[in-house]
Amino acid sequence: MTRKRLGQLEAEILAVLASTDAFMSTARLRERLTGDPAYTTVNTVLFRLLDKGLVERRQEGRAYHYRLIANESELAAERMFDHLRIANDPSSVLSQFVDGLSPQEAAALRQVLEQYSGPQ
Amino acid sequence: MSWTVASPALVLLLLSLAASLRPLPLHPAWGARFLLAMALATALTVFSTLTWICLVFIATHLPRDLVVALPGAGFIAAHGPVPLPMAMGSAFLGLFGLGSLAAAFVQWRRNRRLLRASLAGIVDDPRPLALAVPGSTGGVVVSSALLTLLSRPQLEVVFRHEHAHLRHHHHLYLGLGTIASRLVPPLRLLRESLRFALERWADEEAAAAVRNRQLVADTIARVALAAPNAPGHLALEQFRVVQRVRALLGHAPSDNPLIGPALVGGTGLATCGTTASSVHLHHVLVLLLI
Repeated sequence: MTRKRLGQLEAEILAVLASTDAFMSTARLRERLTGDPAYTTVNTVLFRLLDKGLVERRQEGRAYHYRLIANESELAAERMFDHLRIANDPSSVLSQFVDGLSPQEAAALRQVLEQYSGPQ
Repeated sequence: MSWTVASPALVLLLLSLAASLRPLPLHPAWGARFLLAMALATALTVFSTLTWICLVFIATHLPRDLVVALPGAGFIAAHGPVPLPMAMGSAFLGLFGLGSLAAAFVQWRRNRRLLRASLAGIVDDPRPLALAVPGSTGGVVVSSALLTLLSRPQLEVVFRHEHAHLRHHHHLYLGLGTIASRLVPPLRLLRESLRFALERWADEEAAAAVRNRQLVADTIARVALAAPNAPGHLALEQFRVVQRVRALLGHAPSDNPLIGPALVGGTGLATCGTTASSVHLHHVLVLLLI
């Protein structure tokens, strides 16, 4: 696996960790990844995530088990995005998960959701 | 030289605008490829047409002995004369495009530097943000607001979505689309459609991975409704988020295993012909330089 693909693997590992509330061993985590990445590669990414404060780990026997941090009290966020213009920035090559909504869009979105949740 | 020299460029430009206003009923993956092919062909054609007009204008105004001395200059000059307004207009549009591209590049470098600085941790931001950062030091950047807003299954959707962006190199699509839209400003509309197709593509991948379209739709709606209002400078209400949610609440799109490649391939071939006719002229430039 080339270094370029570590970011891609990071996203996938986060997705797998998010799918469960429990701690997961590296071996079990690896089974659920596509492309059969090497054990050491998975560990590298997990260390990186640990550094970033996105996952926590605890030792069980000789192995470490990992879990996604998604709890407010556990988050140790420091940096701000203040200077980064991403939303609707015509020159940005990054795209946000979701752009901001205008009030009209928000109203339309609520209407769609009501429409679909209504009949059930 | 008459205005007909610009006809391939104009035809492609009109087709591009039509393609971005009325997207074809394709799987977003093929939609994105199609839009990118159109954007590149159009930008290349428009830009080489502008360059060609300027070249001919210059060649017709070179001193006579210089034209004789330079192989190719006579050939180029034979296409003239170019009316002054036409040459000035072409030069202005071309330089404007290049300047705009340079500005975009500077902005991109700045954003990249800022992103690298914030990659060390989760960013503390009241907006629920999630970004896929390409490159060797890349990965996923999320804001603290996103992590506290969403449940674990919803976070999985977000990470699957970002994974799809990285896996399919969506930053390259958007980067090339941005270059095209900077060189030829009307293509900004197409770039917006391309961006939307890429988001839809990632949504569909996420839905396939978690096997729950409703969950993906709910996640997008939740993040969108929690985000602060969009800045009011959007000229036209896009309703992109609404479209994404609506699409996810419907059936999964077909993969277009036949139509997709055929259409993108066909577009490639058809536009290549048009593009080649204008790019071909650039060989003359090489001749001139030699």
